[in-house]
Amino acid sequence: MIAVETTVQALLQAAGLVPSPEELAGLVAGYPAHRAALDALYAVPMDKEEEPQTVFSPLP
Amino acid sequence: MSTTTAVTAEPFSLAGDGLPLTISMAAEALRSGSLTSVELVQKTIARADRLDTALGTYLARTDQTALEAAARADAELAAGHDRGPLHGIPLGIKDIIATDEAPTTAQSLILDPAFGEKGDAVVIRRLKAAGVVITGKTTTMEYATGCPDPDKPFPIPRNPFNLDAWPGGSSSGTGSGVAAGLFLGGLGTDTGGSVRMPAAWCGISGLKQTFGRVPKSGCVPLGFSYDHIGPMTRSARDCAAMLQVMAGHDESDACSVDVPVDDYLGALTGSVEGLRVGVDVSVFDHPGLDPDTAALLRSAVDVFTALGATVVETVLPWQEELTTAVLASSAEALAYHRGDLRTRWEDYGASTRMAIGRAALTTAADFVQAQRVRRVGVKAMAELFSTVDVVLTPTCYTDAPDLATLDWATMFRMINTPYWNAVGNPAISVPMGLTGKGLPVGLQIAGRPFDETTVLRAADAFQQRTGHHLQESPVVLKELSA
Repeated sequence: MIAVETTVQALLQAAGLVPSPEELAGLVAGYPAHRAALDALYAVPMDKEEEPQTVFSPLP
Repeated sequence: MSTTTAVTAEPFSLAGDGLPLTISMAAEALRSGSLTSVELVQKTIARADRLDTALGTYLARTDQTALEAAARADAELAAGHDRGPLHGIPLGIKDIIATDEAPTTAQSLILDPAFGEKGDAVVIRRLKAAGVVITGKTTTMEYATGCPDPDKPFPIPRNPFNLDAWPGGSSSGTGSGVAAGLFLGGLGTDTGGSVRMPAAWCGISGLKQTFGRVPKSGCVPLGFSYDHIGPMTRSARDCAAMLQVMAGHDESDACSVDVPVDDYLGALTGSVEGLRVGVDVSVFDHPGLDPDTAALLRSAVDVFTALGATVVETVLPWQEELTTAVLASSAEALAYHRGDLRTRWEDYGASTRMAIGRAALTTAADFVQAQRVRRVGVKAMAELFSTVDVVLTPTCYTDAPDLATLDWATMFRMINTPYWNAVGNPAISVPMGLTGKGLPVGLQIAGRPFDETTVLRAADAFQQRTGHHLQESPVVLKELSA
């Protein structure tokens, strides 16, 4: 099991963001709720092939 | 708590400075000859001289160019060249929308000054063609997100009804400025409620029209697929007058939708007879709903019943999930800001950098899933609005928070607005009375996509019956009488 702090640090590092230790602690503390809210999006019933609401257009 | 309101029977402020309270009232005065645009703008400038330092409404005032524009409007009106109901009317513009009159800063140390050098945003060009007078650029949360940061060199916006309270945001200055009469209308932007929240907490009206109805090119982006530029005024009628000018397709905005523009002012019949009004009763179980706001909402529903509407109970589907889908907009913001956040983290406000930087914890799949959930929401709205014509909710669950205790996460739990950014439907906030603390709260009225006429008709009918939108701030009246 990867610690939440490790996950958060890795994601921030991948984005190149360097918050202060206090800010990092806040992000770590808030991450479980953040992740749970995002995970809940996958529980919404929908067609397996449902498209995203934003659609690509080849026209400029 | 006040469910009825004592308002002036005259079309001018109780402050005694002869300022019309609404755009409609001012337009009438300009055409009757009882007021000129120059006199009108001078009155708003005089108010700004007295109140702006306390309210933190402006980032930049453009007094001289405003007076010049007002003089042009007077000359045109005198010559019989009438550009319509906004001709000669002073407006404040949120400082993330480009105007020729003043730089655009997004209230940030970050934004490249070259952004504002591209000239007027499309909506500004349209408003100028309608003869408006721009009085200045108004305060915002940095890049339209986060909370005020006292460590940065910008004004702290304050609520006209209580200077210790926040006016809401991110369109803070436009909200406080309309409420205090520093201008009669203005522009805000709304990605998760940034027009409607300050409208509710400043006791004015604010419209987030359907996504794509008004081109947003020339506005600093926050969430590309969630952003709206919307009108903020005292009355729904005035929002209709502004939308009439602002609406319409423009190729410069990839999100702009090419649909006909309706006759918004012509739709304001004052009647909601037979209109099917849904009330989202789930809000009464919301743990954050304060008793005063709940009582004011019930009184507002009673008004619609008295007006002959058919009121039905309903529940908005997927509320938590669609709100989360709006939080995913920070991923769009991070795409825009990542380079600057990597190199200039400390130059951002503390709350802003955290609000945007948090998106690094959202994966690409999460973001796409949020857009799929939005599609589910759009389909659910089609079903809901086959049974009702509009839906009522409180705009926010409470009145305005104290500035001293304000933080972004707490604020986000107080608002009931992001839902409509997720699905894109139009929603307006109109005042529905004062809480026991003497602070305004808003009634949110939402409707079908591109059916702003019904939303505005319902809001206008409510205001014709209640008059809450004419409530003036005792703080402002006291200062002006001193």
